[in-house]
Amino acid sequence: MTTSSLYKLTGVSKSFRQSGKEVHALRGVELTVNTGEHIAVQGPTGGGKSTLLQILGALDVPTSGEVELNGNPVSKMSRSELTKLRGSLIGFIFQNYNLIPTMTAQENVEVALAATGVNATERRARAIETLTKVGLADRLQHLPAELSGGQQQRVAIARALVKNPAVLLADEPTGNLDEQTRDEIMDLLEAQAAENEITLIVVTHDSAVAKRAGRRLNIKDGVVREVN
Amino acid sequence: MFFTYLRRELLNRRRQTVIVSIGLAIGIALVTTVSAISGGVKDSQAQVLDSLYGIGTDISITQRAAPGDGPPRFDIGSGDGQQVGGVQTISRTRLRTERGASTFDDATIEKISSTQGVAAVATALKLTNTTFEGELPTFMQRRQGNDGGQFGQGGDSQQIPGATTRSTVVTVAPSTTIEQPTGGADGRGGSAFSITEFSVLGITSDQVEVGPMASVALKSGRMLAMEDVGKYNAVLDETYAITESLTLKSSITVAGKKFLVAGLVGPSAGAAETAANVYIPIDLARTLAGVDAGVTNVYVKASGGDSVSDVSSSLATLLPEATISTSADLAKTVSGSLSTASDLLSSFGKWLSIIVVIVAFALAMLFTMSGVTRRTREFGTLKALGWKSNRIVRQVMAESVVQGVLGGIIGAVIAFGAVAAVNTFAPTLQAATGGGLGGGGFGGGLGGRGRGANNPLAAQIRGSSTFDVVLHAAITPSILALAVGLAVVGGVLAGAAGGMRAARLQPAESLRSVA
Repeated sequence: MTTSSLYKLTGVSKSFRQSGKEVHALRGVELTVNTGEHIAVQGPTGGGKSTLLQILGALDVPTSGEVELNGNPVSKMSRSELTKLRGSLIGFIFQNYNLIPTMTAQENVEVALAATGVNATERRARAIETLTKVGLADRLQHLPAELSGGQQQRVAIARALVKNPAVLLADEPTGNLDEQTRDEIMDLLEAQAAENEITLIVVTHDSAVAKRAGRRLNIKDGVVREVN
Repeated sequence: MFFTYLRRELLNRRRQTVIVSIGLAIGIALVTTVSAISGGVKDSQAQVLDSLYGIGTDISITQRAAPGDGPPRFDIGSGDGQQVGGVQTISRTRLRTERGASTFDDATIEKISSTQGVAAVATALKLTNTTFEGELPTFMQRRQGNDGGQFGQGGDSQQIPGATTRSTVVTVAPSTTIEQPTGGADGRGGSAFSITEFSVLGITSDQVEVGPMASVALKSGRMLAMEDVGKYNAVLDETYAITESLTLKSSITVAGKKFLVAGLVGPSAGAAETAANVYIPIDLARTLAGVDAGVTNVYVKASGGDSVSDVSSSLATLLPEATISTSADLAKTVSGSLSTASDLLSSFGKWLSIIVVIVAFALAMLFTMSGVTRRTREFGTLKALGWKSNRIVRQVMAESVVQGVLGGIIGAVIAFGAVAAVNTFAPTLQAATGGGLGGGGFGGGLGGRGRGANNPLAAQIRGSSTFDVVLHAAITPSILALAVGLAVVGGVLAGAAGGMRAARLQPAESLRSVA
């Protein structure tokens, strides 16, 4: 496994106005994330976890400071460049799965490849392969509503994995699951990340999930601290 | 993926698809139906106008007679007719130009023909053949000194009751008298007579592209030809021939001269009725009517639809005394239920359609925007996955356009049903022109003159004062194109509104908003 730097955040701050008040979501964050790391991010609600995840996911740019992803200066990129970056390097997993309700499991996975220009045949083959990896070979044509919470999250994981991203950003991936399913999902995530040398950054309130990570960060009032 | 996503959205969000499509369908069905019926009414109006002036005629020119031209007179001498048993049987016929009309000479026709924008000219001499027939008492039986003999109560002349504006005056020459009135129709000095009338058109046989002959179709026999010039051959309106029990090869008396019925005609496709009862060569028409030269009616075809107004203006300058009427002018004189239907469609129907379409478009836009709002997380997720905004906008627009097209198809089907229902019901619309719906006249003869009698334009088209036209609505390709076009426009507008909303969504914001 290489230990090259995947992310490098230098003096990253993010502020925005909310209900007429200036909110400082991140304050001078200094952070380096190496390839293949498994990091858990914890902290109180409103502490800046989601904002950090959005900055890391190139969904947003910092108000000040520098963000580098794989050597790409994220904070200086245009929207279309950010979109391209997201499509190729970053996989997202959400607490509410965020599957498209009108599409089957297979089609939900294919959606992630549609943005990258992969042809239909290869798209289908890769989607089926990835869904098989996450244990859903027999649920390819099921709509999200026909799947359990754990199965939906497996589809979401497959959707994130199918494009072979450099990093998986998971926002409360087990927040809606029972303990047994939580453990199954985390086992799956960690296994896939390890197998494919994918950096895994998990935002969680769940200490059990956080303890599984090799590195833990705590974020409060926009300030990130390492937890030993 | 584009079509898969599109299909999934349309099928799995059926409620939204159905609501938007049905909303657009109702608006489009209404517009299509109103347009089809409106087209049918316009066709009906065109049929009426074509019947009056001939298919293809853009402008009609007539000229009022000089003041002092009175009603037709029948001068009956005391010795006229046959006198049997105290009854004097008389019969008089007159062929004359329609009252109020005067003629154009050849030089004027030449000027009209050479006017810029005039493509074709046809002419006709419009005449009325009036026959007075009846029984009067032998006036020698009445003794009234040297007073003029008269039927009725006295005086030298009697205006025939019932013919209010188009009266016929009969005068009887003074005669010697006897003491007690006897004879006549009732044996006591009474009278009985009838006046019959039919329209006669003196035509030039080679003028068939424009004018009255353009709106007739041969039913049997033959049309008049150039070799009929100077010959007593006539063509009859088939309906008139049936009414008068006249057949091919039989004869009809016009101005006391017998004409051989050479052919029978009816209205051609697109016309409601023919222009006259009897058609004869124009040279004989002039001779019998005592018209030295000229024509009463000139029919003009303009070189293009856009030039009708310009040609009309030029002709008005050229002929300041003449009445220049375009088909648009004539359409204004058409009254009756056809006119009412036309007015209703052009006002209420048109605005109702516009309002319904606007409401349908607005609803489609609102539903689409609402749909985008509901799908904020979905679009945010897609953007997080690397979908570009324009890809999402394209997807939203495609969904709306398909919904619009579906609405157009459903709307067209509804409209076809509505139009079929209208055509099954086949309402008969009545169109009244200058002659109006006036009273029945006298002895089955003179038609009364209703409103429009003082209108010179109306005056020239009397003799065919009412028409019954069966409304036939049709969805033409242009109307269908309008329906589909409106549907697509509705879909595009709704898609644009929804797409713009989707494009403005920032992935971080959209994911945060649903967190």
